[in-house]
Parts: sequence; C-alpha cells; structure tokens
Amino acid sequence: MSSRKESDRRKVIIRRERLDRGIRARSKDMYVLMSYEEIGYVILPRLLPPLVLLLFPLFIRDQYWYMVFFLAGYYAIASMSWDLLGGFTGLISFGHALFIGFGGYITAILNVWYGVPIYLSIPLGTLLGAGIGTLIYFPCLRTKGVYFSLVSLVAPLVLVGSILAFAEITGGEEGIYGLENPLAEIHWYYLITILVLLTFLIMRKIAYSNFGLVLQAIRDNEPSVKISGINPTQYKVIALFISGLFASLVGSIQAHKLSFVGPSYFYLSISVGIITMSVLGGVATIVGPALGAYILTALTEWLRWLGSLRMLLYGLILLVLLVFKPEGLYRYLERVYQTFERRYVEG
Amino acid sequence: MLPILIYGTTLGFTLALIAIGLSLVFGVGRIINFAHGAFFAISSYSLYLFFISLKLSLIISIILALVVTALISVLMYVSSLTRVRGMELNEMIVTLAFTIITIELLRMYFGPSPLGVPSFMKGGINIGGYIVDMQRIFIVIISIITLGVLGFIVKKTRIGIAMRAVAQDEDAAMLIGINREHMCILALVISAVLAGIAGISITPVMTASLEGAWYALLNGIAIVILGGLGSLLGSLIAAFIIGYAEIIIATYVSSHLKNIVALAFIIIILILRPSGILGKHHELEERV
Repeated sequence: MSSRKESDRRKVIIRRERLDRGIRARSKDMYVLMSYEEIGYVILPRLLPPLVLLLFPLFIRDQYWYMVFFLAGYYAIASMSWDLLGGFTGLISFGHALFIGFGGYITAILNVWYGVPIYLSIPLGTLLGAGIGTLIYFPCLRTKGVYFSLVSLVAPLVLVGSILAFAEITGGEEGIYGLENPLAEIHWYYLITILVLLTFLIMRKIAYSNFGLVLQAIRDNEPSVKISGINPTQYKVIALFISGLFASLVGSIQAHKLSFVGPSYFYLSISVGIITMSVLGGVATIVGPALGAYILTALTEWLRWLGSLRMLLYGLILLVLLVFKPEGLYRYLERVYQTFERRYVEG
Repeated sequence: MLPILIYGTTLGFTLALIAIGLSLVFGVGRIINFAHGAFFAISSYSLYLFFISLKLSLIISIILALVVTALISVLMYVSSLTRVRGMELNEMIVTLAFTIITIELLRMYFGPSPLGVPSFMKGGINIGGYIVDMQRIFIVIISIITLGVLGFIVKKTRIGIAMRAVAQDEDAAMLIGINREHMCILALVISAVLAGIAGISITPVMTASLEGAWYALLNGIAIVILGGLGSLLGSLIAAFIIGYAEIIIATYVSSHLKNIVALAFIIIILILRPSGILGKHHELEERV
C-alpha cells in the first residue's frame, strides 16, 4: 500500500502545451503579450526574413550571391503580383510574362530611342506596360475566368512572333541593347529587396482590405457579387492593373539592370516559373509565393547543370504539388509553427 | 488566289481536327485541355520514331503512333487529372504542366531541331494550272473521312448519344446510368486521336517540331473561343476562318504576323460576341 503511494509522489508528469495557447486564449485579433517568450513567438517569424534579406550583404561580399538574390527578388515580386490575380481573384494567368515584357520593352524604347532618364523611364514603363497589358486582357474580363486563362496563354506566345515583325522598333531577335545602368550590383540588390518588402506590404494590405474581400468573392461566386450590386468586371480590371503594375515594374528594372531587352522577356518559362513558385509557396497567401520564389530560384541555381531541363523540373514540381499537396509550403510551415509545444513538469 | 484557297483549305482541315478535339473535351468533361498541343507533338514524333528510326511500314507506324497518343492521353487522365477533377483552375495548371513535361522529354530524346518525314504519297495533281502535292490532297481526304466518322459516332451511336447527354446535363445523364468518368476518358481519347491524325498527316508538310505543339495549342484555343466553347460545328467554321486568314496574312503582309491573327480574332469576338459564333447566349451564362 505504502509503496504505491511512494511511487505516485515520485512520478514526474510532463505536460505539453502549444506555445501560442496563452496568446490565443487571451485574444483573437489583438495580441496581449505577457512574456518575452510570447513576444519572440509572435515577432521572430515576421522580423527574421526581412532582417536576413537586408543584412546578409554585410557578411557575404560576393557579387554572385547578390545576382542570385536579385533574381529571387525579381521572381518574388512577380509571383506576389500573380497571387493577387490567381490566388485572390481566381484569374489564373498563364502569361504573366506579358507584363514583364511590356514593362521591359517600353522602358527600353523610352530610354534608348528617346533618351528618357532612368528615374523617369522606369515609372513610365511600369505604368504604360500595365496599361497596355490591361487593355489587351480587358475584353476577356467580362466573361468568367476560363477565357482569361486561355487568352493569357495565347497572348505572350503570339506577341513574341510579332516582335520580330516590327524589328525596326523592337530590335527583332537581337532585342535592344545599351540601356542606362548607373547602379552597382549591390545597389540593385538593395533596390529589389526593398521593393519586395514594399510589394509584400502593399499586396497584403490590398488582399485583406474590403477590395480584396470583393476579389475573393468574385473567385468563389461571381453571380453573388453581381447580385450584391457590385460590378465584378470593374474589380477584375483594377486587380489586373495593380497586378500588372508590379509585374511590369519588375520588367523595367530588369531591363535597366541587364542593359538589354529581348524576346526572352516574354518566354513561357518565366510565366511557368512564376506559377510554379506560387503553387510551391501556397496560392492565396501573398507570403507564400515570395517564399516559393526564393526557394525555387536557389534550387534552380543549385541545379545549374540541368541547363534547359529547368522547365522539366518546373513542370514536375507543378504536377506533383498540385496532385498530391496543393496547400503549399507556407500553409504547411504555418501549421507546424502553430503546433510548437512547450514541455513543463507538473506535480 | 488559287494557292491561298488550296493552302487555306489544308490548314483549315488540320486546325479543325485539332480544335474539334479541344471543344469535345470541354463539352463533355468541362476540362480545358492545355495538353492538346502535346498530343499533336507526341503523334508526329512517334510517327518519326516508328517510321524513320525503327523503319516499320507506313500503315503500321501510323496506327502505332495513334495508339501511343491515345494511351498517353489516358495515362494523363488516370495518373493526374482524375485527382484534380472539378477544380477548374488546377485542371488547367496540371494539363499545362503535363504539356511542359512532355515537350521537355521530347526535346531530351529527339533533340531540339525539327525532324522531317517524307511524304506518304509521291507526285501531285494539277488543279487549274497549279500543282498540288499529294500530301495535301491526302490531308483533305483523311480529314473529311475522320470528320464524317466522328459525326456518325457523335450523332448516331449509343456511345455518342451518351456523350452528348453528359455534355447537355451531367446530373440527368448520371441518373439514367451513364458513367461520367468513362465518357470523359472516351472524349479525351477521341480528341487525342483527332490531334494525332492532324499531327501525323501534317508532319510531312510541316516537319515534326516542338514549336508545333504550341502552334497547335494556341490556334486550337483561338478557334474554340471563336467558334464558341463546346460547340463542334462552331469550331469547324472557325477553323476555316482562321486557316484562310493566316494564309492571307502570311502571303500578303508578313509571315511573322501569322500568329497574331489568332489573338486578334479572339479579342474581336470577345468584344462583339463573347459566346462565339455559334455559342448561345444563355449557354454563356450557364457554362462559361
């Protein structure tokens, strides 16, 4: 009898509890943080990625890495802008490179043929690129999303051909060389990184505002949006224009950085890369596509020896992810982070 | 004028075969099949493989190429498409991913440059002072036969009626015991065979190339939108409109602008009449 009691007292009870339990119990939307542990839990994942991006050049002084991260940032902005369209509005764009190409070409034409300085050519190229792209897609926005997807696949493939027809303006197969490039590699890196962070903030603001809510309603049930007295076409056009704005911004920055534009700006591999990154990171999360862009660019760079087989890799990743794990990396990581447990001894 | 008529007719028939398959799969299964161009390329490359590389006889190579194309379409449906059925957007991305994988594998195995296949029949026929080679005559004849057989299957046979029933009202069709999935696979196989026939018959004229896949896909999409999604007769008419328009632009303006015809037609029809030439307006509200 007595021996059993003895063992009861000695038994150590280990309890597990989710780290965010206290925070969740106290509040739903507002955080009431009561310890450093909780502060860290909430702030670290939000603070760490931007800090790493902004501070890593202090430790690594290698042009090559700046270049890789520039490319990753380029894709991150493009996929976040794709996500506003594909994830939130339900307009899957198979030709987001159209905006990149327009932005790049208009910037190049302004800068090289008309001598517009860089601080004007980038904003002008961005605005005009997004505007022309929106005009091309405008007729298919009156119908449901399928038409937009079909046309967005066709348009860049077709426009590559017509670039060659207007060779005296667009430079044909060779493209346009000699854009102004006054910045060093590190400056371009900082420019794109700050733009990635800004794009993320703006996109998140848009996506979770009332405007974004309407976009999500269009995705889920367009007739109900019409019944509510909202014109879905108008919202789709604005969403397309905003999305196109960021994509063509990327295109015009890339044009100045490489001092070159060519038909490769319109290539399907770029559009497919953007879709793959968004699906990898998680559609309709805004952070996810950026995460996917950084991971996939690093992976592509690591698998450089694949060369032109990059497209095969993208295709396989897309197919396998969509068939077996369509939720994406960000949602998975979020779930894992929310189930972090702390152990403590009780008794 | 005569060459335009001749080349336009051959191109029109080829495009009709491509687009009717695309339209059929959308009508029956509500799948936007971006892998359609891949079927086109698979058929021409497998014809090259069997006919030139393995030196089989022509008839056997054609039959084998069609069988391979049909099998790959079934493989695509069973392995990946069936898991994302009903999710329209995911279906599109999966079929596009399938196209990319197929094209890259073809590029890996056959190399990037186009491969030529000799004409099935030598010689030509003199039509109004202009000599038309036998291959083009062959394309026209085989397309007419194929379209006739397809029309018979869809209109007269039990299986065709079942397929149309699924296209008209899926729930009612399922209530009277038609298996929706089987009809969908059947439509996909028929469309793959149609794309295969188009690909095989045009290969000696156009060579087997990877660009052919994108060419077939983007023209197919343009025709299907122009004719009305899911309308077979509309696709047939639109195929000839785009076929003649492309030949006219390529002859009189510039061959680089050939493809922009497709985009221009899409945009014009979407502004004027979004449901396409033969699409009905209520169908637009319902389906599209």
